[in-house]
Amino acid sequence: MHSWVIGRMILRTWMNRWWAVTKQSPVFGILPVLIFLSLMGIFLYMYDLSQDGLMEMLGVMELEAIFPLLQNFALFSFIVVMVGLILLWQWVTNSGVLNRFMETLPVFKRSWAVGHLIPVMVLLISIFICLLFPTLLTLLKPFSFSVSKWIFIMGSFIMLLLLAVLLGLIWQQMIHLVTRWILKNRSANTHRIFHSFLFLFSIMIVVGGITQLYQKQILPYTYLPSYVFKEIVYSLYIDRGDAFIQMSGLLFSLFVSGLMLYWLFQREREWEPDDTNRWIPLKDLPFGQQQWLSITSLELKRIARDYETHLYTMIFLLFFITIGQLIPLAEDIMEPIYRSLYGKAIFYGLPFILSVYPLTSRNKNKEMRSVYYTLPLHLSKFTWGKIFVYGMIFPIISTLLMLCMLLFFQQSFPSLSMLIESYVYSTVMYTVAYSVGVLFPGNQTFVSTLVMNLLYVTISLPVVFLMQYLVQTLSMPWLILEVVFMLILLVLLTTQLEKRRVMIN
Amino acid sequence: MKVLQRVVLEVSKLSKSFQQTKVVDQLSFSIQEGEIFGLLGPNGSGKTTTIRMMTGHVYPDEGDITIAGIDVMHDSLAIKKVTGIVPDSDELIEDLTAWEFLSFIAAIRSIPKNIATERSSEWLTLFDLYAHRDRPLHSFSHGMRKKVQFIAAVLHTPKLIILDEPTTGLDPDMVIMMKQVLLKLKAKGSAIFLSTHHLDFAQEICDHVCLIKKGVTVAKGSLAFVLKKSKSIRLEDAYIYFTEREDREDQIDALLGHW
Ligand SMILES: Nc1ncnc2c1ncn2[C@@H]1O[C@H](COP(=O)(O)OP(=O)(O)O)[C@@H](O)[C@H]1O
Ligand SMILES: [Mg+2]
Repeated sequence: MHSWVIGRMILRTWMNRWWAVTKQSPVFGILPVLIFLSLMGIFLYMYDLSQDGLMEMLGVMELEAIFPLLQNFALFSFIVVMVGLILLWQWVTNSGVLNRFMETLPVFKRSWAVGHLIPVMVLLISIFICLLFPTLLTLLKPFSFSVSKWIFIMGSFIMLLLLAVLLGLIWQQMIHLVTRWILKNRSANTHRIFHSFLFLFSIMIVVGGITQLYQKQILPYTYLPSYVFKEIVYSLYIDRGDAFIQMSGLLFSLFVSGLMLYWLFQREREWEPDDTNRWIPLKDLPFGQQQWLSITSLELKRIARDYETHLYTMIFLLFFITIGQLIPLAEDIMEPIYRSLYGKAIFYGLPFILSVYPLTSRNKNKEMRSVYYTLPLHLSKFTWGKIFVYGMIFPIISTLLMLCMLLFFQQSFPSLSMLIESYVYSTVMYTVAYSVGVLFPGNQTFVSTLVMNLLYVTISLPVVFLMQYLVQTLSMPWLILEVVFMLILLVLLTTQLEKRRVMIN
Repeated sequence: MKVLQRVVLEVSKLSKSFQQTKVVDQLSFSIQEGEIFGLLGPNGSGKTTTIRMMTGHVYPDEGDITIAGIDVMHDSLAIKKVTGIVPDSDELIEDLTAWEFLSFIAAIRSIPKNIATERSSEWLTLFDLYAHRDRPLHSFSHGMRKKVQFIAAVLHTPKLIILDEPTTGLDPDMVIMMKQVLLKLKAKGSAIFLSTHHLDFAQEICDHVCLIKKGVTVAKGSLAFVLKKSKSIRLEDAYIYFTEREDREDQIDALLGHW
């Protein structure tokens, strides 16, 4: 198994990296302990929580009445683990994890990806177990099972989670193969977009669809693994003696899913997507006469082709929209309050989400040394070109997006002053984000991206508060003047930073 | 009648240290119009550092560099207007297509659009890249990238062309093509600065060479002069001759250190 070897290798590199940072600062040495402690913490907290919340209720319940609860809980666990896996997989295949290095190894891309998945999966499942087991324990407590029955039940539950993992993987692999089958001979990027689309769609189906069908009892729920799990517990409870048969059913589905996954991986062939004649966004956008305009145009093209970041933004927007969809479900008295809160969340949150573009902008200029250094281009023009994108053009896009979201999901039309405020606010957010990206360009490793994001959050939060204050106290012309002043300051600052970097001494 | 040739690049007594290690030591040379000059030495001998001083990205500790009469430290932007540089790495703006990349270079260099279009098409055709012009650069192979870099460096018909290891990773066909192109450019009066450790290639096209080892000049002069002085036919033998003699002198110096 290639994946297994790769998984061990990844684990190895993690250990090595951990060892390396530990040698630098011993604080990191306790990281595994910390992880273990936090897992224990989660476990105990959840246990406490479910004891408090459930015990009282369970105490007055008939034992029989607990079984529907148990079944719902099993279904919930199943869906959470499966969706978690699907999301994780999507992240793995879309992040830089699948890098060029992988292409030099004689392994299939997917097995490489699964290899990466194994260590993460171990961690993820540990977290899930810590999250889910306490509730399960609490639910089972009133039955006072014997130890052997306990072990039997726990084993079944773990099998249930494993099944969820396998189904999650099968799901993604099917999406992958369907994409390939439908889009034969299309470019890699078309594939990626289509795959992401199917992925988002499938998440909605899984979460929305199944729960809906289940609630309306349309789905023959006896086929659901969660039902089987409940049956196992029930059978043990009344000593029906068919618990083993039920469990072998679970084992059988595990086996079948494993085979199916194996078969799906067998369908995988090394395959190079055709990159010719593909659609390239903004291909006909000219570069313009001025140097700074050329940089602006370049940056716009680059943004438009940054599919990875689009996916990230799409997921967040989807999340946002889903929350908006839930508001009408609230009670009548609360709805207007939620609605206005949601409007505020869109106003302040949207620029925050979209800040990922300016934040990572400088990081993506990997060609800085070999291209720009050979050109007669002054760094201030480079910076102005970029600031024009993030201080002028991007705020228009984000204000329009806000307008659309408010119109579609809130059925409310924002006032003109709100639009202008949104524009000014986004200008500030995006230019600050760009400057933070310049301040801390780093590389594209996970850690440095994390540090950059944290830095941005720490810097931008005070900026948000300042902006809120300024919007309330200053009149519009003064506000705009302030912002222009800030823009100039940031351009000077970032240009100076860049200048230092160009000169190596 | 001999045409008076003009000096395009003049480097005198150039020195640079990184953390107390001399990387470039008292390097001097000059290049005239219509001349190919080779700075030759193994990896780590200070060639790229010299180029980065020539383009104004590393401050020299000592020495002067003038290109087309302009002091590099004084105005490095003006320098880049009259030079074309092919850097040692093959990084490009990955998200652009080859055509967009060249348009971008042309826009930054203020080359009129019609001229840029015409030249780009001709160069791309010459290098067998025209059919690939609308492909994103991240799908290009190393050789294709080097070609695109070369076109980007000559689009503005520079007086001086600086090439840092232009032949690494190229297949023999492309090396031959590169040689032809460089000789033609030389005939047109361009000055060409070439850094390489590929001595056979250098021998075939260079007029003047400077052999360096760890930043120190071990031999300098016209190709014929260097070959003659080392009684060699091949530049490789000449390099061995000069560097080993250096080594021997070092050994003798060390031996006699306590004398
Ligand atoms: N920015 C720098 N800081 C420290 N040392 C450097 C730097 N750039 C180059 N060097 C060192 O200078 C020496 C010469 O490097 P370089 O000019 O790249 O050689 P070449 O191009 O001939 O292979 C090498 O030993 C290299 O490690
Ligand atoms: Mg070099």
